[in-house]
Formats: sequence, C-alpha cells, structure tokens
Amino acid sequence: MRIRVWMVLFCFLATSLGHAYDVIFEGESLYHHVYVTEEDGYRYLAFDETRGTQSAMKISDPIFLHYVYARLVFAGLAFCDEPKDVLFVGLGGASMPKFFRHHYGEATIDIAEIDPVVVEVAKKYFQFAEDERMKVYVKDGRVFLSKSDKKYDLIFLDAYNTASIPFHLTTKEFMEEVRRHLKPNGVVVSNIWSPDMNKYFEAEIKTFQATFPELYIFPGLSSGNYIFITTNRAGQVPKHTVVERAAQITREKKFHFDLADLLQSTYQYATHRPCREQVLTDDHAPVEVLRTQRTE
Amino acid sequence: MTLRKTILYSIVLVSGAVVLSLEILASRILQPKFGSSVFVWGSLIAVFMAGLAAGYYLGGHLSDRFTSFIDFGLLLLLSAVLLGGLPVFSTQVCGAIFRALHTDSVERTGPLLASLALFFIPTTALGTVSPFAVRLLADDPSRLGRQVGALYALSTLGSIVGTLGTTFYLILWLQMPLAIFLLGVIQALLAFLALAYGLLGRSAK
Repeated sequence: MRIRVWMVLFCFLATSLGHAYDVIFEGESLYHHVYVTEEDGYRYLAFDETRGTQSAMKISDPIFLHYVYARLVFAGLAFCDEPKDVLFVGLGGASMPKFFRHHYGEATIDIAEIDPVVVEVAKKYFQFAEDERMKVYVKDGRVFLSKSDKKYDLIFLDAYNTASIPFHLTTKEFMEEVRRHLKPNGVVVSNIWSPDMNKYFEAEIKTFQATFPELYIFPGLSSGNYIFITTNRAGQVPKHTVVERAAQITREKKFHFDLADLLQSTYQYATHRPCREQVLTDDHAPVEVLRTQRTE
Repeated sequence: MTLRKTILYSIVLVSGAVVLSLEILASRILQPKFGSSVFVWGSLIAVFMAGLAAGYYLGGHLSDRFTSFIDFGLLLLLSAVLLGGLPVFSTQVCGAIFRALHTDSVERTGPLLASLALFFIPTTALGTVSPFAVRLLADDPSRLGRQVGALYALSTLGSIVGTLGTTFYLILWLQMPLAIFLLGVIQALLAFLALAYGLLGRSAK
C-alpha cells in the first residue's frame, strides 16, 4: 500500500517536473522567489512558479514587446508631449524601459525597483543596462518619490501585479504624491492586474477618479491587465485624437506594432464611470480583502 | 474556576490579542511613509520583542511591590491611554523621522526609529500584564506550574485571534486611527474589570 502511494507520488512529480521550458535561473530574494525560464525562443521572468509571468523577452529581439498589455502601456505617449523625463515604478524584466529607451534616446529615465535581485536578473538575463540617461534606484517607489522634487512627463506605475498588492501604492495620498511629480501636461500610466471584477479594482478606479481630472482605461484583451491612463490636465482627449496621435507615433518612431490599431479597439473614457466602492486612503486601504470580493 | 481566575485569564487572553493586533496595524502605519521593504517588518518585530521583554521584566518587579487588583487596573489603564493616544501623533512622528533622514538611509533606519518612537513604550506597558497576572493568580504554590502554563497559553491564543481578526476583519472594517483607538478602548475595559474586582473585593472584606 505504502509503495503504491510513493509510486503515484513519483509519477505525479515526474510529470509535473517535465515542463517544456528550461529554468535558467532560480533564486531567492527578500521579496520573491525569482525564476527565469526559457521556452520557444522567449525568456520569461516569474515570481513564485505558480503565478503568471511578470515579463517576456524575445531572445532574438530584446526590444520586441510580446504581451499586448506591455504594448498598451505606451498609450500614455498619445496623451502627453514628447516625453523628456520619465519614471518607471517597478522594473520587472525591463521590457518597457528597454523599449522606451530604444525609441526615445534623448529622454532621461529613472526607475525605482525595490528588489535588488530583480535588478541583477534584468541586467544578466534581460539585456537591461543602465547608462547616463537611464538609472535604477533600488528603493520603494513611494519612498523614492517622497524624497524627490523632480517632475516627469510620464510616470509608469507597474508594481501591482505581484502576489500581494503593496497597499501604500494604491491610495489617494500616494496618487497625490505622484501627481505632485507631474509636469503640467504630465501623464500617469498604471498597469492594474485584475483577472476578475473585484472590489479592489472598483476602489482603485474611484481613487484615480478622486485624484486626477481625467481617467482612461484600456483593457489588456488577452490578459487580466488593465492600463489606466490619468492626466494632470483637465479636458477629455477624444478617441479620434488619441488614435491619430498613436498612428503618428507608430510611424515616426517605427514601432514594431500598430499602437493606433490597439487603442482604436480598447479606448474607454472612464472619468465619470460610476463606482460603488470607496476611495482608498492610507488610513483605510484593505486591498487584499477587497481583491477577494467579487462585484456582480 | 473562581471569579478571580476567570478575570485574570480573560485579561491575559484579550491583552494577548491586543499586542498582535497592534503589530499588524503598526505595519499599516509605517508602510505609507517607509515603503513595503522588509525593513518595516524586521524593525517592527524586533521593537515589539524588545518592548515585551522590557514589559515582562518591569511587570515582574512591579508585581512584587504592588500586589492588588487596583494596581493591576491602573497599569492596564496606562496601557489604554498609551494606545488610545497613539493615533494622535503617529503620522506626524513618522513624517518628522522621514524628513530628518537622508534618502539613502530612510528605508533602513526610518522604520526602526519610528517603531521605537511609537511602539516601544506601549508594548512595554502591554508586556507587564502577564507577569502581573501571574503574581495575582499564584495563590497555591503546588498548582503554580499549571496556572502559569495556562496563562501563557491563553496569552498566545489571544495573539492568534488578534492577528487573524486584524488582518481579515479589522483592517477592512475600520479606518486606521479608529482601529488603534479601539485597542485602547479594549484595554480600558480590561482596566475597569480589574479595578471593579479590586474595589468590590476590598469593600467586601
């Protein structure tokens, strides 16, 4: 009896280990169990094996953006002036900073990433490199912003899709801090992961609405990601203007995908979208619990 | 079980819950200022342990000097005041420490300093509860072992309830200042329980 149990267990382990991908790096950091895997010409970054991948890189073309949501993030470009100063909160596999660096060689890029191991991994396995115009600060995004007076054209918030949401990056106080670092025409792009409709997602919409004059939501289509665009300046940018500018940017910068096409099918103006949840604040942001509560 | 025992066990159980509830809430106070780095949790756990250690030591000494339920009640009342007053200045203290530190050291040093400034004294006060209760409980030396054992077990069971209750419910239900204030109210209720028993017991004699 006991032998049979062990055999079943062994077979189970053998099949579950027989993945099609190769693990090329596995390491423990203070925050994650970091995996780098390879499969079919792509290299992936994952935190904790059971969860989805954080980032993907086409090995033959490190600038190529594999995921639709990673492309959608650059919708932000259609809402602001030619960006000169840009901030990324959260580095991950660095696909977005690399893409941006490639197409906007003149811009200055700051990156705040809390996990030093993630920075090492991005450099070693994802062809990311710092230079005189692109610097990484190993810091919590909010601490980095509170200690800085710099203003940006574009701020990318990409720190929400890990196992637990850092609640202090979801609140109105944080959003106000972010807004304080925007130039007059500045834009914030946030990557919110929400595979189902839950109360956290609603509350986050409400919080963005409470802090910024305009909110646009671009659903990631093939994944549970939603790209939130918020602007410092009031006034709706209508769909046709966004799409025209996206087309112009795609042409001029020679993107490998058609940003205009993507925005044409995903543009949602959400400034007045009704939300039943409360605004998240430093004093009350039960994001983990809200995330487990579905909305009808 | 005697009334005396029931009261002491209840106080230790509930205080145990309050300690860990405070610790969970403390992380929510520090994180907005000092980020979600591991240093926040590391500092908090260290400072709470230090506070409890100081409290156990101090509580033991005090309980040899002051041996009545009324003294115990006053000590509990002190912890209630310390907890209830915490939200009045916690944000300002965190802000002042954040501003005083250089950007390179704020993530490491900030949480430790803020934890010390805000939570060391309240946890010391909470730490005095268990040894004081032991002293008041110990009426029969031949049963001391099992009574102390029961007290420790109840205190730790209370801590489990405090941890789960806070992470799963309290954070969802209450705004931060109110949640901490509630802990102060709970300690005040325990204080009144001890005081009432002490005063009634005295007049009965």
